[in-house]
Parts: sequence; C-alpha cells; structure tokens
Amino acid sequence: MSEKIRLIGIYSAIIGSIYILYGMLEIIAWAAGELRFPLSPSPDIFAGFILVVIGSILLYRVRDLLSMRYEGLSFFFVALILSAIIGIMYLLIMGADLLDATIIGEPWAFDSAAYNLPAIVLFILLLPGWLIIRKREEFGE
Amino acid sequence: MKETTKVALAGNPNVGKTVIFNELTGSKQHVGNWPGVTVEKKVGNFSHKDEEIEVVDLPGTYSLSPYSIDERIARDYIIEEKPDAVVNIVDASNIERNLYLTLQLLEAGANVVVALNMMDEAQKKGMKIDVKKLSEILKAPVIPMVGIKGEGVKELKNAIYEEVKHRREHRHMSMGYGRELEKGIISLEEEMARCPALKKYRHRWLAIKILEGDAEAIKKVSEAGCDDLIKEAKRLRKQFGRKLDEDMETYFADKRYEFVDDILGVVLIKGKKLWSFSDMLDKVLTHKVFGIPIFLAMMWAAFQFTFSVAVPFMDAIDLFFGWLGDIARVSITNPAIQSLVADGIIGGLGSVLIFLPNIFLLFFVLSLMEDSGYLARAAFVMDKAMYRIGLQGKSFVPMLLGFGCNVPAIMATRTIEDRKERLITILVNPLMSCSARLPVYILFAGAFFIGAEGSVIFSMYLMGILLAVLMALLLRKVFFKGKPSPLIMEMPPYRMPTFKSSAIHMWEKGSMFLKKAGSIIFLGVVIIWFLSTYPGGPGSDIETSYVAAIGRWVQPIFAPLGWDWKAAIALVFGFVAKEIVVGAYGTFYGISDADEGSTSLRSELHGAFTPVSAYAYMAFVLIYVPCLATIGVIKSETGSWKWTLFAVAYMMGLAYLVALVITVVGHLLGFA
Amino acid sequence: MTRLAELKSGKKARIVHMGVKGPAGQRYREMGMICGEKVEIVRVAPLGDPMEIEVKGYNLSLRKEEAELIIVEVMK
Repeated sequence: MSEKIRLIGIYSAIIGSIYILYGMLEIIAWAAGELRFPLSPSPDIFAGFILVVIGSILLYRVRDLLSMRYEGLSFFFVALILSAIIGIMYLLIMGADLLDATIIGEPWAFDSAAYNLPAIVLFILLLPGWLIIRKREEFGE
Repeated sequence: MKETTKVALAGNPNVGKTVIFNELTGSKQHVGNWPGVTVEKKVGNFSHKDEEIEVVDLPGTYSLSPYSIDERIARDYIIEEKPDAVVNIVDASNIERNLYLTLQLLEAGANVVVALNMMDEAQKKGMKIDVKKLSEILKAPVIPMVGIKGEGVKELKNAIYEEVKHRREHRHMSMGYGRELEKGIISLEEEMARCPALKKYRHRWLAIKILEGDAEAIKKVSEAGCDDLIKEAKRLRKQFGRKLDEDMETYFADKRYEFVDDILGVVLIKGKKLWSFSDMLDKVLTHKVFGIPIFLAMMWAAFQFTFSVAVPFMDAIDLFFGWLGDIARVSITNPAIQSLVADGIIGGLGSVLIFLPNIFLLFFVLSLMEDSGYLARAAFVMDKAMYRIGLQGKSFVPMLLGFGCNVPAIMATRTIEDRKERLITILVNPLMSCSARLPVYILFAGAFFIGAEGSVIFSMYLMGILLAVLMALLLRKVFFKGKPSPLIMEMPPYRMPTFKSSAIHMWEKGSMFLKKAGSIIFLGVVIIWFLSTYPGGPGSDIETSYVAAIGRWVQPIFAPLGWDWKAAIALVFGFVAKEIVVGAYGTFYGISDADEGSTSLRSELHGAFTPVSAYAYMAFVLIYVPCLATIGVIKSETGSWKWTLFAVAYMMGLAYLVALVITVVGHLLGFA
Repeated sequence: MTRLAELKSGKKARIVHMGVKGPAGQRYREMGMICGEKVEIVRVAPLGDPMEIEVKGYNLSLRKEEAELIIVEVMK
C-alpha cells in the first residue's frame, strides 16, 4: 500500500509540473500580447492562474507522498476534483459552441485558444487518479 | 367534503429535507412564496392507500425559537396551522444537535413522525442507534432512512398514513424541567385555562415559551388580552432567575440538551472519531494559502460555465422569436396590430425568456455548490473581507455573479438569511458591471481612447466595484444601522450532490423568475415599444416618437455633461437593456448593422462627444439602472416597491453625480 | 481562564461562560454552545477570521468577535 503512495507522489509531481508550466505560459502569452507558444496555450490570465493553482496543489505535499505519509493525499484529491471541474467545463463549453454553430448555421472548428487544450489534456491524464479515490476506504486510518 | 390532510416537513438545514420531499411527492409539487415574504414555499402531494396527503416543505430550522424569517415561518406554520402530522427529519450522523428540535416539536404538541435520515453516514461514523428504543422513549414513530437512495420512503409513507389516520392526542413524551419550575409551569397553565383565545395552543408549550421570554409568544398572549399571565410569567422568571443564578433561556436550553444526553445514553453507541473524507477536503479547500485561490477558481469556472454554455440556448430563443416575429409580420396586414404583435408582444416575451438559460445554468451550479457543502466554505473563506463593508461571507458569491448578469445574481442572494444584509447586497449588486454593458464600453473606448481601450474598460469595472463598496458602507450607515448579525453557520460535511435535486432546483428558480419578474419585464418592454413607435405609428421616424420627445425634454439636464439629445434618447433605450444603446446609435446615424466595432459609427461619435464627455457617458451607463429585468427582479426579491424605486432613484442620482464629477475634474485638468 | 478566540487550531477546551447576549446568545446555546460543553478548534479562515469549531459532533463557524465573549478552560 505505502509503495502505491510513493507512486502517486511521482505521478502528481509530473502532472503538477506540467500544470504550472502551462499556466505560466498562458499568463506570459496574455501579458505579452502577440506572443504565442507551441502546443497552443491560450493567452488567458485567469485560466493560466487556475492551472498554476492546480499545479501548486499537486506539488505542495509531494514530499509527504514520497515519504509515504497519508496527509499528502488530501491535496492530491482536491487537485483531482479541481482538474475535473476545469476540464469538464471546457468540454461543455466546446459542446455548447458546437451546438451554437449548428443553430446559427455556421461552420465550427476546434479553437485551441478558447477551449484551453492543456487543461483538457491534463484532466484526461489525471483520470487514472480517480481509481484511487474510488478505493478511498483503504486510506481510512 | 373532508378537509385535505396536511403534513409538514421540518428539520435542521442540511439534513436532506428537500431530497425526502422530492422522494415523497415526485413531480407533483409547486413552488410559491409564503404570504408577505420572499421565502419559498414548496407544496406537493402524494396519495397512500385511501388518503390524499398534502406535504408542505418548511424552511430549515434549528429551533422553535425563531432567529430568522425562515425560521419564524416554519414555527408559525407548525403552531398556527397545526398540520395533521409533522415529519421531523433528523440527520442520524448528527443526532445530538438534531434531537434538540425534535424535543421542541414534541413539546409544542405536534404529531411528530421522526425520519432518521442519513443512516449510512452514521454507520460510516461507527454510530449505532437503537431505533426501536428511541421510538419508545419519544413515543413517536422513528423511521430509519437513506433519503438519497430512496431507502425508507415506503416505510415513511406508511408511518405518516398511520399517524394521520389513527391520531392519538397527547400521548407524546413530555420532559420535566425540575420540580420547582414544573410548579411554575403548572400554575401558568391553570391561569391560561381562563383565556379562551389561547385554546388553540398547547398550554404547556406556551407556558414554557413565555417563561423563556420568547418575544413572539408573549405577543400572542398579550394579543389574546391575558396580560395577567405575562405579569405572572415575569414574576416567575425573576424568581427562578435569582434562584438558579442564570437566565431562564439558558436554563431551558441546558435542560433540553441534558435530556438529549439522557436519551442518547440509552439509544446510541458512539463511534470512534475517524479522519473523514470531509476533513481531508477541508484541509485543502479552506487552506491558509490555497483557500482563496481555489474559491476564485471555482467561481471563475461557475461563471464561464453559466455564461458560455447558455449561448446556444439564448441564440435559439432569439432565433425562435425572430422567426415568430417574421410570421406575425407576414400574416398580419394591419400595420398597427402587426407592430404591436411582432415588436411589442413577441419582442417582450423574447426579452423575458432570453434570461432563462442563464438562470437555469447558474442555479444548477449554485445548487451543486450548496448541496456539496462548498457554499458554506466559500462564505467561511470570504467572510472577513465582506464583514469589513458591513456584509457577510455569503454576499460575495452574488456580487461576483453580477459581472455576468445582475438578474440571476440578485436571485442568488436568497442564501443570505439576514434581511438587512440581503437588501444591501441586492441594492449594490447592479453596480457590478454586467456583460451587457461591455459593448457600450467597447464602442466608446474604441472611438475616443485608441491605444488605451483595455485600461479604460478595466477602469469601468474597477469604478463599479469601488462604488459598490462605498454604497454598501453608506447604506449600512444610513438605512441599515448596526453591525452585521453574528455569524452562526453550520459547516455541513461534504456530500455528493445529485443531478436530480439540482435539476429540480434549477427548474424551480426558472419558473419563479418567469412568474415573478417576467410580468414586470414584459410590461416594461411593451411600454417602451409603444413610446418608441407612437404617435407617428409603425414605420415612422424614431425622431418623431415619444421617446425622442422624452430625450429632448430631459436633454437640458444632461447639457452640463456635454451630451446631446441623441445621447439622452440612447439612455432611455438603455433602460430596457444596455446592449440597445449601441443599436440606438446605429439607428440615429443611419448605419445599418452597427455594432460596437463599427468604424463608421465611431467616427460619427466624434462629432457628438469629447473624450471627457465620452468617459462620463460610459460611467453613466455603468451606474444607472442596468436594465428592466434587473428592476423586475429587485421588485420580486425585495417584495417591496419602495426599495425598488429607491434602487432606481439612487442609481440615477449616483450616475449623474459621478458623470458630473468626471466632467468637472476633466475640464479642470485641462482635457477638452 | 481563556477566551475562545485566543485558542489555536487543534486545541480542545470546555466552555465555562457564554458571554454572548440576546437572540444570538440564545441561538448559540441552541446550537449546543452551553456551559460545560467540550469544543475543539478545527481551523481559522485564511484571512484570520472567522473560526471553525467542533461542538456536539458537528462543525460550527463563528467570528472572533463573538468568540471573544466565550470563556473557556483549556483541556489537555
């Protein structure tokens, strides 16, 4: 069991770093105006801020997880929930835009800037984490 | 014909009352307001065997000594209306505090059926409750339930049926308050027997209440003309207060909890305290560093979801009414009737319904936040900041939502229990710059502040926030004297919200908006249609209409600000909805399809405004009445024309004042 | 004798005197804040106010202003 916690630690360290990296890039892209980065982070200061928040929560207690202490799991769980809220929100907005295009009769194209691709991809990458939440009874002390 | 059998649902907040109400009544329910106040009244019914039973969902209440309007309603219903049975929903995992209300209900002489809800959570906490013994002690049926899974609903219906069919009066448990005090209670009861007007209340309960010094109970007695009784109660209060060396109300509360302890000593095996999932989440969600950023992230997501996902539905409504209008234009030949139907009535309906997608989605999200328990955390995290301006934590969410649309934002103030705090939040909410005002800013900033559009528009939002803070402080000082009421907020454990109850909640809010605010908005739109069409009739030039006359008539007021009559008319139109301001300018200058980005419109504006008067105009648009719909919803939420008119008047006055200050300061600084 | 408001999170205490008066005081008592009751400080909000305590097996939040008026004795 405790080995598994160490794995979660490594997992959240990696995903957390990517979250922070992309969050920062989005903030920089927003501040710099015309600047664009590869893999299309959208220039959105709020979205960037939220990605940084999720990333920081993931990284905050990684040390606990790596040293196999349970306390760090709280932060992992909350990051999972936040990541899902943001990811699902963008997917819903995408769906709504698709629906809108159909209603108005205009063509629709995936706009990576509006739907924040990194947030969606990272949400999907964190999905395996939910398997751990489902077995949360194991973690009761 | 026999009277309908009435059953009330009573219980603490956060015990799953609404879920059980939905389980009992299914879709057969309707929402209204309690007479005279803007607190929701939900009524539904179900039939069981040969009985048709009406169920009233009372507002959540912690005690029968009312602390808020909601609680007074709950109590008055139980005491005055005397329903045939009261289903007391008890959170089994929090049974100690919940039983306090149960004891009071029994004391008041209600026919109580205890629904012991959330048995699964109690089990998880390791609690074991002897249901049979509890029922024996309380002398009332106790039904163990898991409401969200529908467990125990059938048994509850049976118990309600049995209760209303074979009612046995005065068989409920009665608890004693010590020999000395009992003597006093009995003497008051005897005295009461001489007051026929008090016959409908259970004497023992009323005696205890006036001994407790309950203001409303005392009022009831004095209205019945039994002032001797009050005098006697006062004497006893003094006498016992001296003897016990504490207040009577303290004594009664202590005694009741003592009683709860005695009961639980027999029926409950407490579990070991566990580190729960709720604790884990709270550790992060109210964290010193992360608490506020997470809250802001949640709000941002709620905001994006509400206002982006609503777009296709709003477009669909728009298209539908456009299509309906076209049909009317084709099929009606009389120009006067054609315009009335197509532009007035259909246009009016459209402008009411266009708000529905936003309201639906917003209340869906809010209900998720409330049912999951997060809303209490949000209030907890933001309370200090809001307390500084005379409000409380729960005021923050509606303020933030105002940036999207003031209509659902004002409806969202219902979570604030304190009436003063709620009114202040409603009154300052329109100052939060909603999304409909943005096109006006874009048009003017693009025309007069090239290169600094972003900062100028941002300054509008900032000005709105600043004014809201100042107005909140001012309203506290002048109209709502005193400090915010003390915070006494339960932090319920996190729970998984269900789609079903959020969807029902959303549906209720939507229909409430249609019923309450819809008619006012519709009427307003029809009036404006009339004023802009006549006396010339349909197809005539807008410059000959009543609106133009009003514009010219009020223009001298705006002359010191340097605005012409067109600006004044656009403001009259902006009364209906802010986005019309841009369209109105398009009409004046004969530019078809004018929008906020139109360059020809921008250059035309240069003839009518200077940068200073343009900035003042933007500020005016920010502050004066957001739209008819907001006025409608202020009326339906405050329940008072007085406050509605006050809101309109103060916003107009403030808008003028701010615009004037901008003009004067601008000229003094040497800007044209 | 200490005031409830002075306690750090994690501390346990017993209520000795409820100094909150009027309807609010009545409400606190009905919510279980009675003399002799054990309470535990769960946490303090990020901005330093209000605080959350555990009483009667559930969590309640209140502002420091009121917590100043509640006298407690700290338990080990």
